[in-house]
Amino acid sequence: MKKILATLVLASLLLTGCKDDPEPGSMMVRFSMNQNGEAVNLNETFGTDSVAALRIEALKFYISSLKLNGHGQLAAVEVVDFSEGRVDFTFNNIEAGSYSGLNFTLGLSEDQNASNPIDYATGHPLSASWGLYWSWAMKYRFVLLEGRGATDGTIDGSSSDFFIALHPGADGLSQYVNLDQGITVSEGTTVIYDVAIDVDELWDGPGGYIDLPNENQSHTTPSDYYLAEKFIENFAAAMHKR
Amino acid sequence: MRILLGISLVLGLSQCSNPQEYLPEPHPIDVKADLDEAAQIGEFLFSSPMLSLDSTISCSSCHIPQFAFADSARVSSGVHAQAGFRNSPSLFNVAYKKHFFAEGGVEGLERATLAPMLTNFEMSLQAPELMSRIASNETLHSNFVEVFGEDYDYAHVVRALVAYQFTLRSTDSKYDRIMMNVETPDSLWLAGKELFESDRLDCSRCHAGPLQRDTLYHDLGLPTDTVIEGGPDYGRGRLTHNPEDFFHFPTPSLRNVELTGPYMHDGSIPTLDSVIRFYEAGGGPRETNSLRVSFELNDREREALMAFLTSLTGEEARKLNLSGN
Repeated sequence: MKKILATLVLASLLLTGCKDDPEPGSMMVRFSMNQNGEAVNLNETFGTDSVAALRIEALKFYISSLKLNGHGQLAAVEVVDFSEGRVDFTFNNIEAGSYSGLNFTLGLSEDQNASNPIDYATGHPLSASWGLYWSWAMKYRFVLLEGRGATDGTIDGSSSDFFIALHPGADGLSQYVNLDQGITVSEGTTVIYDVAIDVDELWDGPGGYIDLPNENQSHTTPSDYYLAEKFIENFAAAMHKR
Repeated sequence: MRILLGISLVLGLSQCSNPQEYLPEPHPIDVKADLDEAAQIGEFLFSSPMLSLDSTISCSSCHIPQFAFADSARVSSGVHAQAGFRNSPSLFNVAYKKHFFAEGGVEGLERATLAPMLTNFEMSLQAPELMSRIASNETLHSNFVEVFGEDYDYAHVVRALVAYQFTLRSTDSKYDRIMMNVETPDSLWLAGKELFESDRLDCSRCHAGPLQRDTLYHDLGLPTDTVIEGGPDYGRGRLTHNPEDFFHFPTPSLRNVELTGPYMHDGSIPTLDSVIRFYEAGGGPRETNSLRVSFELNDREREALMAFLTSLTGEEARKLNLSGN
């Protein structure tokens, strides 16, 4: 009898020790600006083909319907704000394993874009907390990039300087971004999916070449809609897994 | 004979005993609290500079009670003394308004209230900073808790302001008293009304009904030299991007028009007399001008038209105007 009991206890211990479900892992999606493989920070001056000196002083944008291929949706909407250091987002409870990539929309869906900010608590991406709500039109800016450029290569307040304010945002301007480089999530650890924004490709991409000294202001108005469209298409294509 | 006809016309319209009977229903609001209590907080906030980024301006800086809650400046100044690009409209009777701003793209008072609070060249204050300022003001914080509960948020700030603006009614003018048949119109007023509604002047084609406005957008041929965000002020076209809407602006109510100068969306016409002369000339010079008529008034007719227009000034509005002088 004792032998049988001992066998049962041992068997139950062995069974509980053999879990079928592996422990989930976590994934961080992290955004950065990048030029030739080097990080670019806000307020740092650098050169591009479009202009000799460029300084990005503010960068914010919406991503929506963020999905990990093979897992499903990670977030319905997020706001990335470099000025606030809000550039990384961690998602827990992801089953350990290999995933074939990440996809999201740069911008908002029509429903999200029609939201009333006061329906959301302060701090929510769609609330009136991020300086992205276009209150006169009941819509949101999808991307806000502001800064300065200088055709003579030195940003010093001289006549060769100019301001940059690119604010695309309108139904129909959202861009689908598919990053098909895979990632492996391991049990109990956090893996980082780095999304780099190539600051050269912002001005030269599938939307077309942007001549920054002459094309530096767009608020998605009738007179500058073409630039909003060009810029947001380039922006989406400038995002790569690093 | 003309006077008799005028009186009978007015009497025909004057079957109402109070303005609410001939005014449209206000657009309903839901402030999620007692309306009066919310409005009291809203009234305080309305004149508080804490709502602006640099704490220099309040709602009442641009919507000045003395001027029927409009601005006496051509265009208002926002934070850091930045100039806006349009003339601030009167807030009286916003309860009856459905679509707001020159583009007409904002529906409802709640969203309209949000706009100047967030716009960069107006108050430019985002929700987190405003909530932090309110939380650190002991009295205001207690008032919010009392009216909206412990979990009050930015939405309640907006709703308090909405509640206050909802109470800003101006329907106690001479025009209203005549419409209610409690005041007998004089001959000058009748002549002015007749002119206003005549085919010759065609004013009432757009300034129609008890609120003296339609809900359409018109191009008066005004100059297009105002610059917004690097381009011209397209008005309704800024929202729709439809060239047919370019430079079309909504018809403002003429209630309290005596107190709300300067006039037009860009504040480019300084006095009511010069507005009348603008219309006499058939509006502005651009060929897309949609005004159908030009006309000529003699001095008596101009006086009569002015008498009609000034009869649209409410008693409360006039009292506020005099108290500010």
